[in-house]
Amino acid sequence: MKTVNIEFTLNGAKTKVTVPANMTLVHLLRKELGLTGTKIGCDKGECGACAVLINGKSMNSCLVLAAQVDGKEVTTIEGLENEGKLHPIQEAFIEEGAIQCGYCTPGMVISAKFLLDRNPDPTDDEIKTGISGNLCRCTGYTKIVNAVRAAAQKLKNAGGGGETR
Amino acid sequence: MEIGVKLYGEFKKYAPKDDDRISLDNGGTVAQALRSLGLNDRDLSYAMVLVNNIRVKFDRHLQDGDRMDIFQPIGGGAEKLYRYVGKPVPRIDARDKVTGRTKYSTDLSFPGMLWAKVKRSEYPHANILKLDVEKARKLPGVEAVLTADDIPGHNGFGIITPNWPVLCRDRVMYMGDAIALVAAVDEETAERACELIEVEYEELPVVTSPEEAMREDAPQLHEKGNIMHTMELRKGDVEKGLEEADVITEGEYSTQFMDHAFIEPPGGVGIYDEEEGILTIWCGSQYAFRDQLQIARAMNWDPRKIRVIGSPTGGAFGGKDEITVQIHLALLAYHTKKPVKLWWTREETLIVNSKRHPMKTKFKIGATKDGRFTAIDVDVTADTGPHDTIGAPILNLALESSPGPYQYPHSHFKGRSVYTNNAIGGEFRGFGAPQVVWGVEQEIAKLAGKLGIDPIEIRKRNALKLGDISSLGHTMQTSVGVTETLEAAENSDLWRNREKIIRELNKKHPGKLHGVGMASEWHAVGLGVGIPDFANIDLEIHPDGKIVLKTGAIEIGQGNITAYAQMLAEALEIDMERIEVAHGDTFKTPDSGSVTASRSVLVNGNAIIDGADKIKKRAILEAATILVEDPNNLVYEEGAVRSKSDAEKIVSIENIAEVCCRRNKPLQDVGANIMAISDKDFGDGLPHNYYTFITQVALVGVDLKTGQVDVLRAVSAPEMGKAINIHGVEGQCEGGVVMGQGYALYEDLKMEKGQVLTSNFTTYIIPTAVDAPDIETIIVEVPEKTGPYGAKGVGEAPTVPITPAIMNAVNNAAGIRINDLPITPEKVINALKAEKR
Amino acid sequence: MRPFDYLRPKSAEEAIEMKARLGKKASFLAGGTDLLVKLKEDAVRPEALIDLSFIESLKEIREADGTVAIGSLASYADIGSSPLIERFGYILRQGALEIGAPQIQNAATIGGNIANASPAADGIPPIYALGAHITLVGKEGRRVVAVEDFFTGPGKTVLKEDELIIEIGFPKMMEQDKGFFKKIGQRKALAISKASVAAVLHIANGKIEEARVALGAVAPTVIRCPKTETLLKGRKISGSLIEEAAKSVSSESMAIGDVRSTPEYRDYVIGVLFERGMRNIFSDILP
Repeated sequence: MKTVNIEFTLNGAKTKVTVPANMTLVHLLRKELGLTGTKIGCDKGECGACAVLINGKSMNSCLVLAAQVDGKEVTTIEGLENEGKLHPIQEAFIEEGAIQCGYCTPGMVISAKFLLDRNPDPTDDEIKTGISGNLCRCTGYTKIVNAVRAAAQKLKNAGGGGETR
Repeated sequence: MEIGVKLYGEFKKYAPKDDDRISLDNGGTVAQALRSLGLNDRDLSYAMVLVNNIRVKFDRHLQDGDRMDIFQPIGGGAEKLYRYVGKPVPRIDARDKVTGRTKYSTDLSFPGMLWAKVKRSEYPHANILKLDVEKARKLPGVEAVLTADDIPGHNGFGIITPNWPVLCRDRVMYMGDAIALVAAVDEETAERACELIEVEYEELPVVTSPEEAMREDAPQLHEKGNIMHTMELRKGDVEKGLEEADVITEGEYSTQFMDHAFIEPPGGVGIYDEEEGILTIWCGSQYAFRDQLQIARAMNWDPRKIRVIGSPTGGAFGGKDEITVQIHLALLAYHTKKPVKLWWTREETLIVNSKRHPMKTKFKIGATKDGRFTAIDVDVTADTGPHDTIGAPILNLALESSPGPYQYPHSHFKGRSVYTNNAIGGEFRGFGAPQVVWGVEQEIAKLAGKLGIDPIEIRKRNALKLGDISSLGHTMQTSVGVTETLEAAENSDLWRNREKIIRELNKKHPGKLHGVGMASEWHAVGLGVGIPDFANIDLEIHPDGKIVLKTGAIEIGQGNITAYAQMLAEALEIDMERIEVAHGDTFKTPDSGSVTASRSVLVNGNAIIDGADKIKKRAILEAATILVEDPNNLVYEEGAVRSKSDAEKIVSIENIAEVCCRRNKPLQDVGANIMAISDKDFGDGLPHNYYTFITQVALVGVDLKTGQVDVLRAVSAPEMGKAINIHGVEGQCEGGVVMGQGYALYEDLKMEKGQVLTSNFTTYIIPTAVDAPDIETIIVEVPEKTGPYGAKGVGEAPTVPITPAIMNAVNNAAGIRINDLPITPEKVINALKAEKR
Repeated sequence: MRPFDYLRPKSAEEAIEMKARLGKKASFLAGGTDLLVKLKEDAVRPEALIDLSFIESLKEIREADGTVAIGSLASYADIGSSPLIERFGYILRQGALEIGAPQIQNAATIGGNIANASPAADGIPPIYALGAHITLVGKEGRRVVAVEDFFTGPGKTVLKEDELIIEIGFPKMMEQDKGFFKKIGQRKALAISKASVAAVLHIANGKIEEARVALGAVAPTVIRCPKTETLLKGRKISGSLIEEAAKSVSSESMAIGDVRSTPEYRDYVIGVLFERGMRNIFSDILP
């Protein structure tokens, strides 16, 4: 089959599409579904700008075929905001000044969420390893690490355990 | 521990009785000291504290014997109390960026949009004997295949000399040269069409280095020969100066090609509106108005029919000031009459886009026994690749930057920029300075060592001061904080306690040696003498209370748009939330010059203050008619005009704006600024009038067995006049440190016979979060009276001296010196072996 | 990427049947982190992809009779977080956690990594040192190949056209076994190895009874170090033995130069990595 019918949950909504077999997930999101919050920086899995959560696990959506998410749950940066309320990780990125050009930001936030979902109280070294697959050229990472640390605190204060939303 | 304290202004009431000292637990912070004196939260929100004469943040740890000066910086005090300026104000674009809502030019798509691809050269140097695009044109789904024949105007672009071909006709001169353009219904079809384009080449000898290019028998790459540009500057008599020296140090250094590695590859969309005759280009850019002119030149069009929208951009660092996709998009959109998207791949970006020039430099510096510099002689050779772009001014700034922020009675600077078939040397944050500061700051470290003088002390002894004649011969007319940044670095925990820190780390990590090194820089702000250096802004006060600022400046990531909003809110004394900023659009905003040369806060800021002053004056005149009051008895305050004598008589600017609208004369005005220039003109844009000064310190660990160098901590002490946004300045410093670290340790665009060997992010290595050091930024302010709120600029400097600071730290740790960047483990191991022998 | 057919078998049997039918025209798709890059670079041009990622049975990590068996579709994140691997094959865990970054570990599978056959793959030296066997199933049936016999060159293996890697099995590391994985890359994370080394040593009565040492990124395939292993066998652990063995490791390295490093540095530094690994695991008995 050169095209594939798939059905998956995208940011909480059931989504049915027919995709070319050779279409990657990032192109499905960006070109077909208009979700351009997921970025392309290298298209080879080397920069992390296209990171999304698939069944809760962060992956580079440039290295996943759209056909492979059939039946799965996909969360993109657009899915973190909840009825106009930002996710605590997003709030922390704003407050800590962790955003400059902003192009790596969605992928960074996704990697931070994957980390904090599993490790609600990470050390700084764990935070750095958690975002090591996401290249940023503007910030020197300092304020991004601060933001993830602050987000962990926010989530703890909110009393949330496990999944961060 | 005992801390000396002195309080000023109203804070005097907190002074300890009968004493000028307080006791504090060891390791206590400034905040704890302030609280122990009795200052409350409100006091802390605006207090300004100097420790040993250096302004510090409140989390700074105090040491026994430190002296604190505590100011209340309001009216008549040390500093005006600002509401937005100098605060870590959240960026106005942050929410849209963190939710993924921001649309970068590469995020745009339109119904019926075509995808474009560029057919590029397969050889670094070859004649094109035949070009056949027929098969590509016939491929189903292909809508256009364009060649040099399809360019209506000048087939070239370039910020200075437009000799970079839009599409090559007869000859290709590097691997990035474009030969043909394809637009097709989708990316894959466009790629297939490129493969079907048949090019017959005649290979020509490849010029792979400036040394080779300067040989007499070298193939000549341009009609004028292989030397693109030369520059020479002289002050005094360098030979005499060297004779007067007690000690002379000499060294030769070399640097590599470095890629900007912004995370958004260049790209955008072009649309031609046939009815209106308007071409619209969305693209990652640093200067939409220059793009507009460069497109017009190639299209042979009226620039007024070309709209370029260049903001926001996903990182630029100088790499999006020159044309990338703009002209190609214009050609394709015009030919196909359909929306066209062109987006470079990462590989294309690494091969095609301009890079930081490799430079070979020679230094000779003389000093007296007491550490006074007597003379400097500098020679620079730059590899500028095949096309000019902005290579000449980069060589010039390399020469201007090469002595560092120091006084030399005699100097001589000479440089040449040479054509090769390598990657293109072009604009990159630092603009020629990183290449020379890499050398000069090692030479000064060597001098300090020879003379047995502390490295910061020797720099302080030679530091430039306001009013001094510089090493180039011009007057230091604007704020000079060299000494202040050196003192701030000297007072940092890392520098003060370096011996203890090193000792403990060496004990904890046997097999590694640790070291601390430092370096300084002066970095020119603005474009220099003789180059138009201006900004225009438009200001509109709307009756609904909204205030619109329009600037041609582009938000490339550094936060300039937020800084503008802060300065405007401050100038109009209004809530920042009311401000909307339109930016980087040739049809909707005025020309504010390029976002380059660390200039955009200085020149746009002054334009904003100019515009705000005009608005305030006009508001007073209009209010006079509304309030029926003598304008001389009216004053503008906090977004309103009020009578000095009658508290009842007050009208807000939005109400004034409403009246103005009814009178058909909206409350709006323009602001403009032209940057002040130096008292001297050395030609070719030299010298500059404003400088950022910065000192950086690095702590490294050198693994003696593997040769790996880790940067563990870094301190930046920048002096940028006045920090408009604290997060912004810290962000520039943190990003700059890690970029300079990448330059020092990892990054190397390797070339072999004109081919790029490192054309992706698994081979072109930039630092990750795990590699980045812990970074402290100590903001040093020496306000510049001609800058907006005292500000100059800070965009470039933080990426520069950190690189030699890392090498000086490696030398401090392991006694070795490496002169060619990057400092790879392979070179470290060889140097350690040589050192042992 | 060029167009291709997409096939999604529900079982390993179905996958093998599809591959047998399509032969060279089809490629198996596992985690995709290598294959998709090759497809984008036009380095391979399969007419069909057989997506294994929906075959849950291939993702199990289980123990049986003194061995641990890892399904070929287990991701490196699965391996990195598996208590079984942590207990009985921790050097593979060390390798798994050095691969790329979390996003890559979540996607990349051990079977895909093995089939891709990069000499620099961080997952491979550990399985050499563990003495692993690779189970392949094709239309002719099942065969088990020792890991050393599996790779024939960079990107080359003994896999037949119709064969699928089903699982990777290795004898459990026991209490008297010690081992390590060490690598050096161009930066501290998200780095391809310039050189890597894995070792497992079976200790009895204070002596090395058996040693398996494997080197990555210094030869056309991951290699064992027979001379070093012989040198270590029967010897008592000491600083001088480790130094001697480290020199031997360097002498067995056959590195070439590329954009990442030089042959001289690789041959040299792999000895350093080995020495460090040995000193770490024997820190309790070394001065």
